[in-house]
Amino acid sequence: MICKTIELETCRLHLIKTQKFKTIDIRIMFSDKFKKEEITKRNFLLDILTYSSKTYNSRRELCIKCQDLYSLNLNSSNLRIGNYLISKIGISFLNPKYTEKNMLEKSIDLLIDIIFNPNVSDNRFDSKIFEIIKKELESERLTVKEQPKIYSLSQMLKEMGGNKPYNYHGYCYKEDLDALNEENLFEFYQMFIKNSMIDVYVVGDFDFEEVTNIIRNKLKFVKKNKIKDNVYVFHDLIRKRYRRVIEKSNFKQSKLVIGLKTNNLTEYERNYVSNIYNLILGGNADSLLMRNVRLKESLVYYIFSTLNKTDNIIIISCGIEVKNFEKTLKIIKKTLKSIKDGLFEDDDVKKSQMEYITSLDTALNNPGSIIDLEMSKFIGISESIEKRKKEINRVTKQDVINISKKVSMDIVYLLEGE
Amino acid sequence: MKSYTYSRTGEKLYNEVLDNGFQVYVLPSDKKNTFYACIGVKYGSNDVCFVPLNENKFKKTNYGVAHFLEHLIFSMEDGTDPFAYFNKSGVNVNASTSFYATKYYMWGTNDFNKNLDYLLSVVTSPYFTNENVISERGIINEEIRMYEDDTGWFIDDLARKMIFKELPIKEKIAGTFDSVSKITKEELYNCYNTFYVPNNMFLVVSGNVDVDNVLKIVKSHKKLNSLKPNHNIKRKKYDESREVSKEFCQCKNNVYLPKMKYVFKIRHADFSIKEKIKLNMYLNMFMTLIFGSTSEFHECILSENYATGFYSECAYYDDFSTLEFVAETERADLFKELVDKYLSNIEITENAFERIKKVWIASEIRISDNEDFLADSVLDDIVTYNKMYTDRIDIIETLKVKELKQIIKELNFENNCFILINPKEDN
Repeated sequence: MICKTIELETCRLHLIKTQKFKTIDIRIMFSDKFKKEEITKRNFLLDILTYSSKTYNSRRELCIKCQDLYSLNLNSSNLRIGNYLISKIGISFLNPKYTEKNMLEKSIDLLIDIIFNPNVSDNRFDSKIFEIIKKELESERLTVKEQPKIYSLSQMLKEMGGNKPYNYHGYCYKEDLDALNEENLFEFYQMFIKNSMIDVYVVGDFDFEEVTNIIRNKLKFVKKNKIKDNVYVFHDLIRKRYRRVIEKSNFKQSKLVIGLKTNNLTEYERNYVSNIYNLILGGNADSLLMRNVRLKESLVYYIFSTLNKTDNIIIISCGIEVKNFEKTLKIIKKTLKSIKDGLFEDDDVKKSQMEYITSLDTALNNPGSIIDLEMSKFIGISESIEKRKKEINRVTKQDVINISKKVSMDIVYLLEGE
Repeated sequence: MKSYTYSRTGEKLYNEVLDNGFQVYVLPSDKKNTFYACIGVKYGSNDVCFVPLNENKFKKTNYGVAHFLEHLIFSMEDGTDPFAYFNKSGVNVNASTSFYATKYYMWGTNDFNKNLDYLLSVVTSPYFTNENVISERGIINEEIRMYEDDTGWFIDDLARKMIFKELPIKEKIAGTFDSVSKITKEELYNCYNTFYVPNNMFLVVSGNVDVDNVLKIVKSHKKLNSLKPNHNIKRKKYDESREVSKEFCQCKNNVYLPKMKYVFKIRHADFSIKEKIKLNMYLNMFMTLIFGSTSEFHECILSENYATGFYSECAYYDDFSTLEFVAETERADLFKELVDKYLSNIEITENAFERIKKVWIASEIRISDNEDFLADSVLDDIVTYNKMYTDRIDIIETLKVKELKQIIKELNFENNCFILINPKEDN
């Protein structure tokens, strides 16, 4: 795999050449500082841009065009990384070696059409399509409440408070959705294209010069500097005692979601030790939580913890019967304390290191995750794979004990079932 | 050892069978650091009535035994925890149960040899006791509860119950609280001994592995090689009719927008084409052309605002297929009417047909990029068709509009059911 970053006059181009795949993946990232009201706007914008264009002016026309390009896959999504909001629009298509010679340029032309030639007249998006997307987003917003895992997680994060980016979920907010119309969405589009920091990633087996020239000539962005704000979210408030929040629901299973804050981590702790801590705690099928809550007590089918290092947060989630709430909570608390007391083995550290390395190797099997790895390197939240593999092996049991003392329970949220 | 080459894309698939009938498939790759291995057992939630090993009469088991067994296979007599064992090498392990099969799989980078050997040991050493049956029951009940809260699963489970009269696939894969409470260790052993026999199991390995090395590990696994085949696996044959069990159901659930599902029951015996894979492809082609993202129907649903979050698909069961339409909509009647309208006047163009063939071929080339996906498709093929296809692209190329039109003539839309789920008042 050969990686190159080229500073073009119009954007930053990251080329990753590898013969691993029969596809070429191109992704354009639009990054900016997090603003709550942009969550809804960006969701709307990506949906409307990838729904149709001026050239292919219905969903059907655009889908037929994608199929004609040997089933080109057009994809888009928004994500938040710490204090940044990032919108991705990408295409994945078969390497022209397997199709026709001009497919590289034709595929990129479609991506450009999607981004620069939206279905707009008189400075407003097409009304009919605007309504279709609005309805879809409204449904999506409403039906989140049907999905107890997602709903309980977003409620817990809201309760963490402090007016931080992590308080906000990634789907649309009603007030922001209602405030959008065909005109102000178009204004936002213009600002989005003009003001975002643009990074273009290309993965596959291609000619550096050919791809660089096509991108240089066709992607006419105005280049922006790197975002100055720190990507990491730090907490202003660390609760001495955690807060309990219980919400009633009609679901059969109760969802217990516990938010933990990490505080004052060193860079090494944040990049490496926290991963090992999380894997030991609840990051896999042999974690302490799985052993203590599922294997020994049969209280849950699933229990896991996830690390969100840019937010300095760890989240424990499980589904329980409501009568087992106090018992489960007690075992989870005991498990957290057992790590502080060093009641785990060196072996737990060792196998977590191996699992961490395995997950890096697995990520290299997929073009999308290769882009994610490169992107996180670029925005400065992780180092090269080689370095990561080396550094993770330096983590010791004592490091894990030390970091466990910097982890505190913040919110215990229960979505109470019947 | 036999070897096969995937048409067009060139990947190699190696196949060897042990004396006792255990099949091994290997898809080596020099492009990755990781490995994937999966043991498949042709035994799923559908297999609830069969002749147990060394007996001669059909016996019915509780619903959910195959799934229970999948959980309890991870109990070892010496008390070791398989999850801990695999985890020592940073290897992940998991399992799943479907209507027709149970799978046990692992993936990782380190210590392939000892972990493959151990995976074979886990699956070939049952250890069921009254205690571990009771303690696993609590976990399975939580799993059932979790799926009951999932609207998608809820509606699918309900639909199968309405479509099928006899076939056990009408029941939930995990069973019910009641059926699970009746499962005993004797019943588990009975099923295990009948179905977990070498000629009913197979192994698929892919990734950074050496073919000879895989075979060496498999051939030197004492327990596996000592197992005797069961040439007398007899599953009950059901006389499932064309008709559905129930045509309409309206109920309330934890939804915030009404959901509908419209399903057509299609009997394979009604078609002149007998090759299963081709029939499956043609039915999918039909659904893609008439209801897929490039269809008039699809455009109409969107532009008339008839529904959000909708899709159509074709599900393939043993002797039946179902054509399914799922939507989130406040105008379910209009959605249904539109489906009926397009079914009553089916138009196929050569142009669109050829375009979809091109799309499918592209999709096969994409799948071949990852040997783990190929491994999964080998597994699915064996379970669905009892053989594997390394020439899918060639088969796609042989598809003809004329044959599709013949199939459309033979399609019968009379047997269908319709489900509408409304929000509860307090939602």
